[in-house]
Amino acid sequence: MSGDALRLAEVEQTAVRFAARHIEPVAAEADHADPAFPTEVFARGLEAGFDRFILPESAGGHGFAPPELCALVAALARTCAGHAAVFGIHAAIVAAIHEAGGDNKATILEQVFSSGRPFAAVIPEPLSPTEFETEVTVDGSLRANGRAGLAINVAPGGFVVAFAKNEKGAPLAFVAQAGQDGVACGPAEFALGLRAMPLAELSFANLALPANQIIAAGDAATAFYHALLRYVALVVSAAAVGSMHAARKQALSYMAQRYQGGQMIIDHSHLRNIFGAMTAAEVAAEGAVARAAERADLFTALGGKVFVTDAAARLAADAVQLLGGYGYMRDYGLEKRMRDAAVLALLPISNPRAELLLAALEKETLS
Amino acid sequence: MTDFLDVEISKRGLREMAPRLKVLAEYAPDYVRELEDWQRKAREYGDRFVRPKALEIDAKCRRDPRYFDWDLIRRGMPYGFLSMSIPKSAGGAGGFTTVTAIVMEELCAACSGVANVFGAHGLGLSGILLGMDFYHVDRSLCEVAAAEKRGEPVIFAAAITEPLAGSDVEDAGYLRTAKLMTEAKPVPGGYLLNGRKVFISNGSVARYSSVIAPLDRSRPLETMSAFLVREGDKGFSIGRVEEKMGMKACHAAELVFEDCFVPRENIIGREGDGMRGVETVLGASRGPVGAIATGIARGAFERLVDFTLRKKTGGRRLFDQQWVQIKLADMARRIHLARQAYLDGCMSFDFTGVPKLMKQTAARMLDLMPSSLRRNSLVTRTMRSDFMHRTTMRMMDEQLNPDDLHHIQQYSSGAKITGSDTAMDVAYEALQIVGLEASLHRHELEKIYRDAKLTQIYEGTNQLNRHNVFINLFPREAGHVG
Repeated sequence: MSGDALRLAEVEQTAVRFAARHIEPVAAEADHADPAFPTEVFARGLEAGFDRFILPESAGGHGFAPPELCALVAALARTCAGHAAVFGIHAAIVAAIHEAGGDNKATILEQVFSSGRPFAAVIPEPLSPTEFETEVTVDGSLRANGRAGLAINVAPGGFVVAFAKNEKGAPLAFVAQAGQDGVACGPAEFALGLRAMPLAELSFANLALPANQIIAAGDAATAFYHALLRYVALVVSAAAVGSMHAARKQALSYMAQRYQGGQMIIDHSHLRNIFGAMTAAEVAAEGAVARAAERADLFTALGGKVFVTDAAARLAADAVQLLGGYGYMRDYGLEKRMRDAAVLALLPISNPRAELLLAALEKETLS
Repeated sequence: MTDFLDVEISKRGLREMAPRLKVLAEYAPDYVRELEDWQRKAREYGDRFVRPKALEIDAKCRRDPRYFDWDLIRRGMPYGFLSMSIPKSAGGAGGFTTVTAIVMEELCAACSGVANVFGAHGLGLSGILLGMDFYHVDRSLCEVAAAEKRGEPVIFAAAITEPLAGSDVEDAGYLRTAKLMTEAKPVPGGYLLNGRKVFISNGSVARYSSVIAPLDRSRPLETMSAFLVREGDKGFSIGRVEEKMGMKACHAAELVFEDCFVPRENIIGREGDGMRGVETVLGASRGPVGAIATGIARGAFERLVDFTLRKKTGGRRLFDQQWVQIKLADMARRIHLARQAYLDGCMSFDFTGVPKLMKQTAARMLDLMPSSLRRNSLVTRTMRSDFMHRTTMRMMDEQLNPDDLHHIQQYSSGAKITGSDTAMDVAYEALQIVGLEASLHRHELEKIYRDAKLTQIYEGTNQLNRHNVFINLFPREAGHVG
């Protein structure tokens, strides 16, 4: 086994042990209860170093690269895609700030790390390869106003990355803290899936933005936006692959135990077709994630996420189908996988929007 | 939540939604008018009462799966949905499966969970209707219709699925090897029912459950029979009420039978008629399930159109953007085809299946006979006699064309598959067009996505239904092979 493979295996084992100990006991309840950020689990993740997992050692991190981050998130997602997303989204924002943030990036990251709180983000919809939509405006005295939209991974007292435009339409990326004056964060909302990772409406009213809260401005803000899209697409794809694996294994186990028409379900050739297609989809999705993790470009990450999350949604629905009535019931956990997968397909932007952006990005290369 | 859907398609009448009915209105205006009346009633109940409460009920059932909104069901009583398929002589409206299907599409566009209460009720009593068992028509079904007029819901359930046998109990070919747990042992004066049924829609709220069980588990095909069990019967209890992903307003419950005595008169039809009954009932019900799914898809489509009309990106409404327009067009096309598929299934059943017998002179005379007269003990004995049973079976064999019966199975299974796949695809696509906001409970689309999945599973999985299409397409050649 090569060094890279060994490292990946080690990361995966760490994540599996962590998930068994800290996520498995609470995952079903977190999915069922009113939405709330999993503060305890996140705190245990900090102890394990998940918060600064992907940062270089020179920046105070553990020096892992995107392939290891994907291995971590995928392994966590085998237990719960929602909890995996909590760590994945946080790590993605950390990585994007480190990679594309401006002069304040070290200060911002240090402030977040020392607080023990997670990152949330409001990810705007792209309008073109160089422009995104936001209702938040900043005036000349750097005060932000307007509805930011739906924030992902929201925690009490947590930090949130948001985007704004000034009077001339120039973009700005900044960080704010829930509870800060001028930040209005709605209650965590009940959602289809990924319920461990709360969603809440965020808006700003005369929010003062000191220089140390600015992540990037102008073209650098657009570059940061792209980096954020890329890293979130990557971790979402990884979570989808982990969830696919778990759903497929669960379906297999059921198919090998349950009989229909006098034979095991897995011995019905039509159902083998369905299951085989699930296997093929998982293999292809793994490949797409591995390639996107190796190549540091938005195009591959976003293209991969469209394929992987659509495949994951289909696979989870097929897994439910293979269990029949049991698959539809909460006890078996597959209905949660189906709901989680559908939400993964909406992050960081929905798949048709990602397709629009991919085509526009490619068009740019022609000129 | 969407307060009011000002979407053109949600206002269309039946003739615009299904062009065949515009043509048919020329030849059978009363028939089409009857369907239109039912559509109007279902749309009114759906819009006024169901849609505004759909999210609230879904949320309450998440916290407590035993929550059941009796008040909402009571509000449906003036519309007559519980008795729409009960014969007129028993106080109902005498509608067949096309009526049920049209009502289901409308109600499901509002909330498929609530609609399923009425749909599962229809399934529960259809064994009595399609078996032409006037003994029970004049008793339990009369009770349903009379109570409905007083504003009191009396609900039926159909108990077919078992813990180790789902699709196996719904297919004669698979039944021989089914791992059945439930059995009805003949005893003096009736039967002792033992075993469990699971995932029974309406199971925990039904006054009557039609329970399918063999008299001898080693010969299920030959001895499968149907029994009417009343709530509170000794030895009958409700087990767990499942926590389902969607359609939460309609309970899925476990029914437990422990030496539950069923008096002889509470058998539906005759001993051994059960599997024939199940296949007839499912042939009748899969078309309406296609309608349920079509309604779910339409509900998603209507909410999506409403959203795209209000939501702007880049200064333009989503509705005005080409990529959205093409997706909306494709959804509308698929919903239209799903509707045609369920109309094929239901109309072929109504005109060439068992309901055709009800238009025969003998059946019409029976139906015209006042229910009170049919309850006379002499008439009752005659109607339940071997002679009458043989006569009915002979009438079925003579009047029902085997090819027609195969076609009904193909069309109804096809409608169920077409509708449910459409519902899932449309609901998923709607989430994608709206984006992350669609995942929020208050936007309704996420509930529709959860609801839609059940239509691919119940009334036989889509895989079983595909096989059913095949074996009825090639009835002589087809067998049950892996």
